[in-house]
Amino acid sequence: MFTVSINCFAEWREQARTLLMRGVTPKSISWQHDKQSALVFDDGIDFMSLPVLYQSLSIPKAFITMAEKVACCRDDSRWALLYSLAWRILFENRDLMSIEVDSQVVKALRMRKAVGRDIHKMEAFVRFRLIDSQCSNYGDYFSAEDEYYVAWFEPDHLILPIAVTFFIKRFTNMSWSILTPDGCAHWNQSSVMFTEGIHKRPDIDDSIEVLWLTYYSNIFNPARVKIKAMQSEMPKKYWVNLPEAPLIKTLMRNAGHQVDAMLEGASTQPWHKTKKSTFVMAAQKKMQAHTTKNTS
Amino acid sequence: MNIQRKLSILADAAKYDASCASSGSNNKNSRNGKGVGSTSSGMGICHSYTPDGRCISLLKVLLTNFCLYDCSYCINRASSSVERARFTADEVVQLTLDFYKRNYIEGLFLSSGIIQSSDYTMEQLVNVAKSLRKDHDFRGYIHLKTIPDASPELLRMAGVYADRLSINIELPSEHSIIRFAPEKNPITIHKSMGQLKSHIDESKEDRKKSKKIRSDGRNTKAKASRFIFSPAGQSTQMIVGADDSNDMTILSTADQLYGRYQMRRVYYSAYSPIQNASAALPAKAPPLVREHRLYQADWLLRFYGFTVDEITEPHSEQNGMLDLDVDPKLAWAIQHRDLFPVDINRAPREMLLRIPGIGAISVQKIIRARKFRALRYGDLTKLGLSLKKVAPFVQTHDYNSSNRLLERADLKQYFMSSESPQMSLFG
Repeated sequence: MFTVSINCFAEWREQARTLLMRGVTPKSISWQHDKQSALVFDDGIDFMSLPVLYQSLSIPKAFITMAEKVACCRDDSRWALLYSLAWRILFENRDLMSIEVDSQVVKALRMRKAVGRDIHKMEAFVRFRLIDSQCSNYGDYFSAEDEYYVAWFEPDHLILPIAVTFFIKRFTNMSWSILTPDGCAHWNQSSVMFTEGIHKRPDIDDSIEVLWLTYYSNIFNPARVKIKAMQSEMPKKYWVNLPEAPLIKTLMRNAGHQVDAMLEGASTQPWHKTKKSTFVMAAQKKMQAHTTKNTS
Repeated sequence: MNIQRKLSILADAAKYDASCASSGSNNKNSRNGKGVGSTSSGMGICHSYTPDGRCISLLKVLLTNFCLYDCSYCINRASSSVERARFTADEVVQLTLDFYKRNYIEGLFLSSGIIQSSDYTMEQLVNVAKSLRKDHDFRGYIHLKTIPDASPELLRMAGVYADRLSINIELPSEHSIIRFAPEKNPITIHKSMGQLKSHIDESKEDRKKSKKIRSDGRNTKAKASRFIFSPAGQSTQMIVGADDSNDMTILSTADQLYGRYQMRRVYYSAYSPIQNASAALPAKAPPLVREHRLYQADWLLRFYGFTVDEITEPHSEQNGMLDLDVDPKLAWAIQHRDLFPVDINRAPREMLLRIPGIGAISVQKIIRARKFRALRYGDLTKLGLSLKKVAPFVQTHDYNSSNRLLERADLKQYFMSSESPQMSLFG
């Protein structure tokens, strides 16, 4: 049994290639997630000394794209699963990934879906806050003249390195940091830097946030309360980091009264100001004449 | 009036427009630009959800809710005593950028009450979009509500800056438009939709041509046309339940709009009670289940190969209204039991799409997988399908007991119990 320690997808890919070329079966490898990558082997066999059985192995690109996402899944079985799938694609069926009822394929696709959803939710729910004075935590990586935004997010999976691309493309000309417990990403408008994760949400105020809360409260239609539909898309676990979430309770509580008031006081007399306005009356008359002429 | 007060009035005034989509534009990002923003040709992003279950993707506001029109169903109609406000173009631009930079939104959905004249109002809307694009190199999503009476030149300008344009059809029949929106003109609405379509088509044609020139290797100096007129196309909205049009009329109108103008979306908006409502309209809770069934029917029209007649035919005895108890695909299947069960391993795509409980994506998966091996009944769960839903309608090598279910007189009741979790959404 070989024990292979790796800590990221690139390492898995490298080691998996070496092992596949030597025809090492999935069953004889134990994959470990570790900071230090290493190949350990039992029975005194030097792994690299095994003969190379397959000089050139080509794996479909679609598999690599999928594997890269699966690799972000916070699930210890992912490396073994990916190796086993790679093995089967190479030596059993090149179209394996199309058989979406195969148990291993189903498992990998579920992991990819979970990671994809997590990335999508991160793109949606990260909230940047503008920092007044330049934060010195990251030294001179940032220019003191630029506006600097900071966000805190807690992803389910290890997605930061992949998810950060979206933010770079969208906020290229802004300086920002996204802080997460697993790692932090910093963008200074020209390059990205990763640092160790932090474990507590930073305490930052942003004066624009009150406008966001105003918008959130007013775009809500109290006559259409569908709280389950809301929660299926924005589960409670995200609420802790969303500035608008504390409003939900109040909006729900007041919705009933608001609708009752609308229904009871349903129809009112036309507004006197409109009737008195000769400008409005004349304009309406003109438009209505035009309409009747065109439609008759 | 401060900006916060204006925002509360002008967001409140905008919420009856159902669309908040930011999908299906072209791919843009800020890498070679000066500002912020990106859009994609695929899915948009919903940055938040309000307790009405609707997504917040765009900053959806009116430039002003002063309005000369007096459309009965509208909270902003001239005779409503609702509080009025007006943003300056700069205020909207700044608000959009401030929200965007904090990742609250995908962009702006700007509409307006009609003030002074249609052209004047349209010009104000275009100016906001122009400033975002030109002064701030904003590359996020912009949806402009287009005023049908505005001049052709202004409509063209709108499509230069916006990702999407929309003109609301408002009500399902011409008769209703004339009755409830006396200042609107059904003919102008259609004419302007037609104009937008031809601009969209022309810009597509131009790009095709310039691509061809490039690939021919001839005339390499000709600058490739990168310009796309309203890359996310056009959409429209119909209010449901304000007039007495039935679902058959609504779906026929939608079908025509899709066919004639290649609408990306027709939105159905259940008429929702408003403050100071006009006496001409029903004062009752919005018909949300009906709205939901219309969306399901709309999906069947666009992605499942159904025709309006097929969808509404089972309901011809119910005054052309869809069944509220079960979804329209299931209602159709119950009426056409002779076509089932369908063999999962042999049926053509068109027939798979007709099986209740199987969506278009699952159909893709079935077709891919069955090329390599015969699917068993148990495999359907692995594809994420509910066996209870599909059981009466499918057949595999190891499963064919569905006939008994299919023959049940109370087949609809069998499903209503399984649909209950969905129904409770509207509870």
